[in-house]
Amino acid sequence: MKPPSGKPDHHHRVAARHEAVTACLIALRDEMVDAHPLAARDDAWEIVLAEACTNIVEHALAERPGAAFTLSAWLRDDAMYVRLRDRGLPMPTGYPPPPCAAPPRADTLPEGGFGWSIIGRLCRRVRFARRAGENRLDLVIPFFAAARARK
Amino acid sequence: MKLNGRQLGDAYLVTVDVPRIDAAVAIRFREEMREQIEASTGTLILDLGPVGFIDSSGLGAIVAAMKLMPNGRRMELAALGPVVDKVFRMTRMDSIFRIHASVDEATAAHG
Repeated sequence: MKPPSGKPDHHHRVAARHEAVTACLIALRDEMVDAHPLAARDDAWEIVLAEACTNIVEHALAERPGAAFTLSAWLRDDAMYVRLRDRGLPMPTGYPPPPCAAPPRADTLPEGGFGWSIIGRLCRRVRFARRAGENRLDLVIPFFAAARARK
Repeated sequence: MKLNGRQLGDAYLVTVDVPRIDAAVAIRFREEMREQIEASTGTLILDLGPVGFIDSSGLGAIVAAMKLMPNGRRMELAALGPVVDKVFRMTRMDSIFRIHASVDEATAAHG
């Protein structure tokens, strides 16, 4: 699965800081309200991108002050196609971790580790590749997928 | 971060008056929740009505705050918006917390 060819509808260079991720997502929503108002009403894409970008900040580009990554998005009628690129650390196993299937238990409540499960539930496709020192995460996020995931 | 707390009889209501609880504010949220917990008694009702967006870092901060509650005290949630509700359901955290549809419902439950 590759993103659509051609120039992305939205492209952001994002500093590897949580505040920059928040600012990017707010800016992206503002852009979409004008250019893609129906898609802007969905929320799955924002949930997925928050998780994926946070992973880059906290893992791939951790300990790299001044580093940045790029977010490119192509909007189609059915889905948002996204490519995230960074030149940080590779994933330890070479692949995204498998989603956690077990429900949380009240006596051992986890405070993290939900990110990839959320991404997996809301994306139609998730593909990660490491090429020439670059991490490349491609996502297909169907619009209004969150409603389906609840069923 | 703006957390507004007030004692309501046996319960303590904390309104999270911010539009997002995400990775950028998660640590500050947890620390300010610690202050709210220490300053209060009884069941703590967390009003998430003003929160339009949450990510798993924000969710983790709420779980961390719940773990700060002393023995014998509970934390309950109220007024989850659509995104907050989705994230709680997808992670099945809705099975861990008692969730009230509104603040009025939550406060009525604690008379």
